[in-house]
Amino acid sequence: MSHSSDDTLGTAASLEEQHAVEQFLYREARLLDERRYLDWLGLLTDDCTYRVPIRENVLAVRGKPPVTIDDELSELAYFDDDKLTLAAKVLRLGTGTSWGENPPSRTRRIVSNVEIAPGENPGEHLVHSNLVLHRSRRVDQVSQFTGQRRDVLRRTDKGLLLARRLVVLDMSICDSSHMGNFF
Amino acid sequence: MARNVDPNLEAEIPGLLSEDGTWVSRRLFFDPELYEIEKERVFGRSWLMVGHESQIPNPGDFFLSFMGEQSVIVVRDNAGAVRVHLNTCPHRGMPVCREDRGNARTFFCVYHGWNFSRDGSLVGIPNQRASYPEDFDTSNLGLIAVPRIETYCGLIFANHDADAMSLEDYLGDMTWYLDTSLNRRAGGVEVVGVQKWRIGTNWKVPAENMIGDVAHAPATHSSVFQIAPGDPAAEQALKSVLEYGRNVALPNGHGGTFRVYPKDDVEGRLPGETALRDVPGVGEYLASIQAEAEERLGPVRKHLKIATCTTFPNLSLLGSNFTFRVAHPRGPMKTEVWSWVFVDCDAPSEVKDAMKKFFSLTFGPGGIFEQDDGENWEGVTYGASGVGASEHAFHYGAGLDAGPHPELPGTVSRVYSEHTQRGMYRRWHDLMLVP
Repeated sequence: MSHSSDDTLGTAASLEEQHAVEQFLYREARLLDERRYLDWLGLLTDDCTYRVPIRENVLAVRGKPPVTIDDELSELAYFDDDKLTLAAKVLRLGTGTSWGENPPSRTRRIVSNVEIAPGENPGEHLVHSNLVLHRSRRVDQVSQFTGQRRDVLRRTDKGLLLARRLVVLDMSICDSSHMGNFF
Repeated sequence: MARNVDPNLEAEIPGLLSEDGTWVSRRLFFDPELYEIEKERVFGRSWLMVGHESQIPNPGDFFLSFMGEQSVIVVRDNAGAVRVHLNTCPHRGMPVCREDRGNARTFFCVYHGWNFSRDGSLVGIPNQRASYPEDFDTSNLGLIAVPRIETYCGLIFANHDADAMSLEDYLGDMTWYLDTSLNRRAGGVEVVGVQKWRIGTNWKVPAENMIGDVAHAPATHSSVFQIAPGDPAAEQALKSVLEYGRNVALPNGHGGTFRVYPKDDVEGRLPGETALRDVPGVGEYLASIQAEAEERLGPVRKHLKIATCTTFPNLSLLGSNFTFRVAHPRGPMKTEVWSWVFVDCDAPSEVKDAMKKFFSLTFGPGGIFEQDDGENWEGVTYGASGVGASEHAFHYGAGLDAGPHPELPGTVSRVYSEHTQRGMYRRWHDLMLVP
């Protein structure tokens, strides 16, 4: 798991690379908001993994270290995908019979607090960012999902691509019948 | 504990179901007055599943759960017994447990500091001697225990009704079917996690969907079958339900859809979706446990697999997706689904991992099936409640030809049938008719 590291985050990339990473994240968010899911798939490496684990309520124990985010993550996830299963989900959204997303949700993704550190492999960045996903469905159904993204972006001959995403949600229960949107 | 119900409302209860059970009032799905009665007459008297023993292997291990809307602590005490305490301080009602799971020496109320042992007894009040006489009796100030706790295959059931029939009698032949998922191997199953989400629907809607509503699959889940055109795995999965599936209604409102594969059907005879068999190692594993299954379950049940089923009132199990779940009521038009994901204890770790991933891909709020179920269940509840519309009962008349079967206990029909739903609502009605 990709931990936050105050020592390295935000220090490793040149201004130019920081700019490129931020532009990548903004473009990705726009493609998802515009429902250009096939284009979005093109931003993922073939070995991409994508997880949104369940987050639980954990009590700190007196005399022991405070509760960390990793302490709160269950081994079970809402999304536990690779590129193949993400592609299946994208294909499904295009069938016209994925009723939870037809009529489609209106979504707005706000990405901020982008910090970059060197990744485990050459040419990779470990990128932390914050996400607000606001969703309006049908007439008056409004949901808001917030969380931290822990991404690995890889420099390839196609430019930067997403090689790994872990989304740390801020909620311990999904207050919606439907998580049909990508984080 | 029975509350007085307005006699006019009481007089309306008999008419909520037609005599043959084929018409069910829409009020069951949105009416706040009926919901209040239901809390006592259905949830106050039925065996409610709260979790699995594998979640609390050691003394002090606990998790929070619900019986209806009531928060409960499920904990293993020092003697190894499973206890279910109401999660409320006997002093002022503060929940004494405020985390989802863990291990606790005691449960400490953060309001006034009362402290309770794993077995629920009061072990400390701060400044007790300044507040109470020296011979103050604390024995009736422990956590409130749920009077009945019984288990089946590690599933922990609790009942508020001290006089309820035994769990074994209550489940009856349902265990004959549940065994095929939970008791297939000597080592049993273990829980790997719980997904939780809220749906704007009445709890009965998911419960009746999973008790045998195969008819929704082609329309609701059309998108899933569309993305795999010509894929033999997807076709086989649907075919296996339509061709080999049987809807079975059992006493006490239980029922489900079960696949009975022909004994010479090589493709179908393995438990587990055909799609999963393409994952390296999973097909081999499923084939490798068939001999053990035959030894434990016999020749008929070796070939039997649960599609979906519901144990009254709100426990469902999906055999091919490795989950049992409870539709907790959260008001007349709100449900909180808890979906426990389980795997065979003795399966190899890569098989467990594949099963866990297959669940998340297919079910839960992110699953390619369940997203569209949620949309429909909310729509049913919304559509039931309008003025005018609410006066017209729902029709549950499919499958009037259900009858006995030479090999399967219960009342059996083909899968396009609503007789299992009629059984569920009859049970609900029987309970609601008794003040």
